[in-house]
Formats: sequence, structure tokens, C-alpha cells
Amino acid sequence: MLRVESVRKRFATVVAVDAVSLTIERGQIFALLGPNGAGKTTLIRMILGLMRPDEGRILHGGEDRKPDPAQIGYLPEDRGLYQDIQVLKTLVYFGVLRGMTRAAATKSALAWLERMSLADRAHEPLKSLSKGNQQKVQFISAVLHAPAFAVLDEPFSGLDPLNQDLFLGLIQDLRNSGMTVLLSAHQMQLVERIADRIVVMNRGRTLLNGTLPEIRRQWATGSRLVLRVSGEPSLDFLAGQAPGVTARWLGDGCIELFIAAEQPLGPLLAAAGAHLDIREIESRPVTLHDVYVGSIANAEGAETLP
Amino acid sequence: MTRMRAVLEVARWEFMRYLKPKQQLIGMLITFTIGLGTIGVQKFAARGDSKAVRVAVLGTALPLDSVAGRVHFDYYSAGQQAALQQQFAEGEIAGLLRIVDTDRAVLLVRRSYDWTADVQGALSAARQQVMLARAGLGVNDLALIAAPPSLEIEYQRQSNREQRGARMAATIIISLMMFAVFMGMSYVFTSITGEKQIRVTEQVVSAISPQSWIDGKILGLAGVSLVGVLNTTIAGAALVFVMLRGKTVSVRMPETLGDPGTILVIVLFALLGLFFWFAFLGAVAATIDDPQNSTRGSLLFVPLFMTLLAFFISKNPDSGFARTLSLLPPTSPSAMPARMLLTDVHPLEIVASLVLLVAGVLVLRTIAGRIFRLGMLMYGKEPTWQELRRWMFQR
Repeated sequence: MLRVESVRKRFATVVAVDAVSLTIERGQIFALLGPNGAGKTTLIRMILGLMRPDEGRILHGGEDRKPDPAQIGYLPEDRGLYQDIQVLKTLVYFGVLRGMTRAAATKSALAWLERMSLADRAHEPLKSLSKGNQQKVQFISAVLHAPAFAVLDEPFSGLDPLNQDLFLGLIQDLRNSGMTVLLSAHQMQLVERIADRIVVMNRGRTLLNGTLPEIRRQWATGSRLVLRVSGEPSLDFLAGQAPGVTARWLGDGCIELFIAAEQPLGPLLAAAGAHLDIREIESRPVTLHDVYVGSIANAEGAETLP
Repeated sequence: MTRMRAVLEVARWEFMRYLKPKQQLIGMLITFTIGLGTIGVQKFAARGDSKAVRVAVLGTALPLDSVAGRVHFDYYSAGQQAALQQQFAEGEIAGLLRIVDTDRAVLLVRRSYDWTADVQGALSAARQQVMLARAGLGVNDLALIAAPPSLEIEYQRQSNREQRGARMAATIIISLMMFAVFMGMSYVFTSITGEKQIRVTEQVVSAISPQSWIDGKILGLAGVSLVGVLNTTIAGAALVFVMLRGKTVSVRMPETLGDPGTILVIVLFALLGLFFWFAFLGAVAATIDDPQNSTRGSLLFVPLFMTLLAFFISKNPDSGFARTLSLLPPTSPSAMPARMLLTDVHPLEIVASLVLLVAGVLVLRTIAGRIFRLGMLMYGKEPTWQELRRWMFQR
């Protein structure tokens, strides 16, 4: 288990991480979300022991110490490998640095390359591989020593949809094998498919923290309806009759309605039926993307208010 | 993973990554070929210079030998001067020498030639004979007057030949040290700035400590440099063997070079010197963000300058300057081995120098590790001098 307690890190004039606390349980996929500059990478570097927090503690297995490198796998956001060296040699090097014997590292690297359909490229220099395949090799270098805790910073960036699905499956397999995974990513639709717990950060602070249903409730309680209508009628009637509802045109005759929990649906639908020529009604759950964008927008709006 | 295993694994990786046997063999062959080519060109140039030169002489005040070095003198009468000037203008004769009297002669040439020294020599010899004749003396009398008293110098430590040999050995050792540092400069710089640029640093420092990483790099790249030095030494020795084949050599290598203890101490100084300077180079390289535009690159020449200072002690290896250079870590790796070959160095001086050098390596390695730890994770800008000073003392 990893516990981050009131951690703070300042660089010159910027507070990169500000009183962040979180707990990652063994065997979880924990997603760390936030816009660029939110403090995710700084937090990850502190968790890995590459930086020390100015304040607060980071407990690995209950102890305030640097993590054991053999138990850590790391795929950094700023990543690269030795382009002119053979793929297998590079992987074995990283395996040995993580405490494996050369034989065990070779065996594990070959098994992973096989799994990634790269076994026939093992003796080619990395630079001869496509960007997606290089990304796979990067991923292998982070996990081939079967660490207890893997930190994957932007693992999906630069991948096509097929490889994104492949990586999703791999990360779930890692979790199923007992590995704890800390994931930082921008692809919300992917994260919400696998994350057990999510933290949204902005400007160094935690905005939301919990499971997906929990953070949905933290950010917005209520529901979302999409109405398909004919024509382009005015939505002014909503202002007078449904104060807890926000609406926007999605295009193609579709209107999206966010409805607060306290807003009764019956009068709203009756008013909508009276003012609109409704052809179709669809109820959509609030997505992680909605939560993310909405919570960041709210936080930014709050911070810019006088 | 133990710290030592991490250091050895990185050393192995760096050694295998930068050791290119094929390229080094080609480099050796090129060195050997260029050396042979230079010898050939020298011989060819010397042969071209041996071509005889004809100089016409007017006037008989000084009796010149008909041949002096490459110059052949042909005497003519004063009435032939106009015709000779015509021949000179047409390039048929190389020079026109007009002897005015025993104290003065004029040589007409188109430009400066090295053979005019032969003409000067011939004139001096002829004038000497005329003057001796006027004084009623013979050539033997002059030889007796000019002969110095006999002075036999008995060298207690080294003969003249051995001293020349010692100077040569010291020069070779300093040069090899410079070569090793120069090679290291290139390897360390390429290795560290390259890794920063390909963004592999975070992945490595999350696995091992930055100190283990830089220690391994120093060890591995020092190994590559030593192999390079060994190859160059072999190529150089082969070249010298070819050059000196069949010739008498008036140089004798100092006996100290045959002493295994001395060899061991010299090798120890060289290795510690390489560790010392590679740690310095590693720290500098870790602070460089853009190798093309960084002004810090010039710091990489500091080790070369410090190493070449040892050349200045060869004339007086017992001076205070030489003793100081051989004691202080930045210069002792090249200066102390040179002094050990050139003069008698008290064992306590060697021990003190070694102790200081070992301490210097440990301190510089630690400072380099601290700078490396923070510099390797800094992208987009270079740390300021104030930041570097702070990093040095940041545990």
C-alpha cells in the first residue's frame, strides 16, 4: 500500500504539488488525471523517490523511505531508449538494473516480446521499429521484472486505437496478477474502463478523489438527457420553468440537458413536450470526460473570480 | 541490487556500447598508415633537396672548394660577367657569387634558398684559410687553439643517453595521458548529453542511484579510453620500429621503467587521474542541456590543460614548481609519473601525492554524483552557477 500524506513541493515561484493526500491499495489501478502542469509528474517523481517533498510524507508499505527499485516499474512521460542498441540487449540491461539476473531478464524479455508480437525484432536496433512498437518496448522495460508497483505515465500516448486496446488489456492483466498500477493519462474513455480509483488534480491540488461513481457524485449529482428534435426551436422556456437545468445544442438536431438531482423530471418533460417537437429521448450517464472537463472548468472559474 | 553490482552493470554497458573493435582497428591502421606516409614524404622531400646547385663565381680573393654541400662552384673571369648575368636571368645557373675581397662577397639569387647556407660555409672556410696563411699558421694549429679542455661528466644516476630516454619516456606518458583524457572527453560528453537528449535518464535513476550510474560510467568509459590508448601505443610502437629499423639509437630507456613497482605506481596514477577527470567531465556534461549552444562545453578542456602542464617540468623536475604539480590532484596524474622517470622522487612524496589523489577522486566523484543527480533530470535549461554550488553541498 502507498500513502501520500499532505505532500507539498515548490519550485522557485511555483507550487507544483500543494497538500496532496491519497492512498493506493495493493492490486488497484489508480488513475491520476489533470491538465498539463497540474503537478502529476512531480507527484510521481516524489512517489518514486526521484525528488523529495518539501512537506508531508510518502509511505511505501507503511514506511517513509525510498521504494525498492526491484519492486518498482516506471514508464516515464519523458521517455526514450537507446536507439542504436538491439531491443533485447536494452531490455536485459533494464531488467538487470532492476535486480534480475541476466538469464531471468533475457527469459522475461523474450516472453514479453513474444506477447507483443515483437519476438522477430529482438535483435534489431530500436530505431528500426515503428513509434508504436518502440512504445511497446518502452512498456516492457517498465514491467519485465514483474514489480509489485508500476507507475505508467501517459502509457497510451502515441498509440493507435488497436494498440490502445492492447495496452488496456495488458494493464488489466497486470492488475489481475496482483500488481498495483499508478496510471497518468489524458484518454478519459480509456481510463474509465480500467481505473479502480481516480484522482483529478489541477494546479497542484486534488479536485476529486474516489472511484468513478464516487467522483461522479462529488462533481455532479443528477442526470443527462439528449433530445433529438425537429427544427431549431428556442430553449428560452427552460430558463423560466427549469432553473436546475443547463442545456446546449450538440448539432444535428440534438439538445443535451444536464439536470440537477433536485429538479423533478415530470414538469421538465411536460414543458419540453409543449415547446419542442421531440423525436427521440436518450438518457446518457455522466462520463469521466464530463467530470474531468467540468471539474477543471469549475476550479479555473472559481480561481479567476474576484 | 547491490550498489557494486549496479556500478559494474553500468560499466559493462558503457564499455560494450562504446568499444568498437572494428573502428578501433581501422583507427590503428589509419594511424600507422599516416605515420608511414609522413616518413615517406619526409624522405622524398629530403631527396628532392639533394639535387646539385650550380653557382657561378667571379673574383678569386677567397679560394672556394669546388663543392660545398649541394653547391657546385664554377669560376669565371670578370669579362664573362655580362654573359653570366644573361644565363642567370634565363635560369641556367642558380646563383652568381661575386667575391669583392676577403671580407665581402655578394650572392645574386632569385629568392631565398636553403643552400645559401652552404655558400656561407664555403666562404667562411676559405676566409679562415687565407687568414691562417697570413698569420703563418696551419690548420692543425687552429685545431689546437680551438680545442676545449677535456671534461668527462660522470652521471651518478643516468647517463646522457638515459636522460634522453627518460625525457622521451616522460613525454610519451604525458602524451598518452592527454590522449586518454581527450578520448574520455568525447565519450563522457557523448554518453551523458546523448542520454539526456534521448530522455532515458528518468528510467535509469528510478532503478539505480545517480551515484552508481556515474560511477559505472566513469569505470566503463575509462576502460574504453584505456583500450584506445593501448591500441594507439601498439600502432605507435610499430611505427617507431619501422622508422628505426637498421639505425643506431642513442637513447636508452631509464632503468626505472623495468621496475614492476614503478610501473604499478605509474599505472595507478594514470587510472586515478582518469577517474578524477572523468568525474569532472561527467558533472559538467550533466549540466549541459543543448550541446550545440552551451558555453559550458569549454570547461571540458580544463583536464587537457591540467594534464599538459606536466610537459613544463621535464627540464627541471626537482624545482618547486615541478614538486607542486606532482603533489596536487589536478596535475599529479601526469606530473608525478613524469618526475619519477626524470629524477629521484622521495617515496614520501609519492605516497602523499597518491593519498591526495585518492582523496581528490573520492571528493570529486561525490560532488559529480550530486550534480549529476539533479542535472540529469533538468531539461530545457541549464542550472545557474549558484544552483550548481548549492547542489554540490546538497546531500
